[in-house]
Amino acid sequence: MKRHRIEARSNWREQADVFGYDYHQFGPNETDAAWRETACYSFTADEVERLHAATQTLHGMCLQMVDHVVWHPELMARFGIPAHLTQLVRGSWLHQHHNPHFLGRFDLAFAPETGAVKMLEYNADTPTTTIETAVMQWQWLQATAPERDQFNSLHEELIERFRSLAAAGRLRSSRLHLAPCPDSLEDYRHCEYYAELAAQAGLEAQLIEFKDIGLRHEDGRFVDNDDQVIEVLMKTYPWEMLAKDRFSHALPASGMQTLEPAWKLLLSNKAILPTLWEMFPDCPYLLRAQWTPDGMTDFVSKPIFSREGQNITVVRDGGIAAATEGTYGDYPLVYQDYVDLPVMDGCRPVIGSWVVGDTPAGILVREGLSDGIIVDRSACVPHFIEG
Amino acid sequence: MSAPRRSWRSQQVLLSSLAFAATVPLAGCGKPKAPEAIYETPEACAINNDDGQCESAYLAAQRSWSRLPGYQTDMDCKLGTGGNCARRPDGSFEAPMVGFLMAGQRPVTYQRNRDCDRTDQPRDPNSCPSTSVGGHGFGVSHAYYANGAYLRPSDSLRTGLATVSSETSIHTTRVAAQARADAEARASAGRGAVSRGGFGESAAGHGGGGGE
Repeated sequence: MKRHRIEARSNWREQADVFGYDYHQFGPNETDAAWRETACYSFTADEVERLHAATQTLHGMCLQMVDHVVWHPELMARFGIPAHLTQLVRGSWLHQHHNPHFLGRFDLAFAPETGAVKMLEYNADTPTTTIETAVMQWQWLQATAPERDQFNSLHEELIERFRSLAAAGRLRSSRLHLAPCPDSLEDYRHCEYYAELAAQAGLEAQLIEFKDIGLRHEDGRFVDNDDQVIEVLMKTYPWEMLAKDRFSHALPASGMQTLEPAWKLLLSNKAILPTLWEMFPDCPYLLRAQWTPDGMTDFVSKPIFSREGQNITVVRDGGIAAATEGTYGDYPLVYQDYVDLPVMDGCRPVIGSWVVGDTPAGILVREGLSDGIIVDRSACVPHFIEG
Repeated sequence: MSAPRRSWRSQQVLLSSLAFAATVPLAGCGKPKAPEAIYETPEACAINNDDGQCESAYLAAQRSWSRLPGYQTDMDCKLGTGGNCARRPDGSFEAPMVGFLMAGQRPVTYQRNRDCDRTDQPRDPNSCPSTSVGGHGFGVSHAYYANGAYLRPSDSLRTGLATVSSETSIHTTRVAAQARADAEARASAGRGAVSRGGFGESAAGHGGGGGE
């Protein structure tokens, strides 16, 4: 893995707008953008294979972990699963055929000198940067070096996932409702993108605001603005927030299928880190992780539910080296060994590695701050494969 | 947002990696320390286990399942199982058995047989197989394993059964009571009525969207 300084396309913003990526600016300055193409990364084919293999293996381990956790109520409690949804989580896992999963993104630390891959976390419920990965960096490659290749089949895999789930009868309807997290342009754009992919797969897709979802008193089913039953809801609203909403009590008996399914509450949860470590202590893809910091001197503490780098604390030699603010401070913490991310031109790259269904589907590099913490403003940087 | 796409990028990488993953599993990342397996069919079970054991486990699971008292109402059944429930000949409701569990080499069915808990009569060895988890048979959609014993949090909803004394069962009983209250409220509100605004409210406390 190498970082290259390059010239950005002069019109990348206009191009981004064409593809619906219009939420990249977080400040008035040229550099206040979450997309950065003044640099790019290159990977060797061997490195890509390592990342692919790690992603495939980690995903398999995560599924085994879910199968373990649903049978252990003390673990379900540690994962912070609300009592009124434990049956839904467990039932959705045990009836996987009718509760299929869709996509997720591992955050991986990659050491190019040794080829070591370490899992930082799994964003398995509402992963963002789909548009940046599938559209923006692919368009960048087509515009700048179309003869090169990229580890990136995300766009095609997403369409195929919709198509194959429908063909296998695993969607309760060919009509999908897509609901973004309220008041988030980024989430709204992601739902628009998924709607288009669903349409390309031959499905009917309709966007809806969460506040407009109705609970029909007659039979406890959820309905849209036209009082039509919502059979399949694809959402970019996190399960842990959904679980706190008033209507969540009606979810188990509603018959509504959700993408992601309820069992993803277990995977999009930092409690997977110590659990995986307990189950697979010899796996080289894992960093040691614990429920307490006992015996650890260089570690990162994370709330079991936290997003976009909020409420993260980095401890080095027993002292706080970095910390982020956030709104997830009330959740229990887990502790993971610190891993030194490589430093390239002063940036610390983290690999976002996608899984669609059970298939690795590409990567996107994000450059962390000097402390290596990835936040919502961390820049997405395109890549290509050498050779 | 449609974009002309090449059919596949890095296909050679994908194929060679899959071959690698299939033939050389990385040490330490394959099986967890305490392997358990759940199977939907005896055939699926037999891929990794002895045919006879799988068949026995499956039949034991079916027997246990058929003997279990059903749920009083369809809603109780859905709450208890998360599955599609059907009315039984005795008027109770039950979800279909969807599979069975093999713990180690010993079969444990998914459906718990409450009769196996009774101390006032001999156990039926067919429906209460001797297993590593205390001699119970259990159903997939209802049971879970804790501290060496299987509990059924939804048993409190079943007809003619006392509430299981556990913290989780108390929670579930509360949830069931709340669900019943909700159902009654819906019924009293009249057919066709729809409430809105019950989703999305938790996002306000976080801001920045739901992405991760």
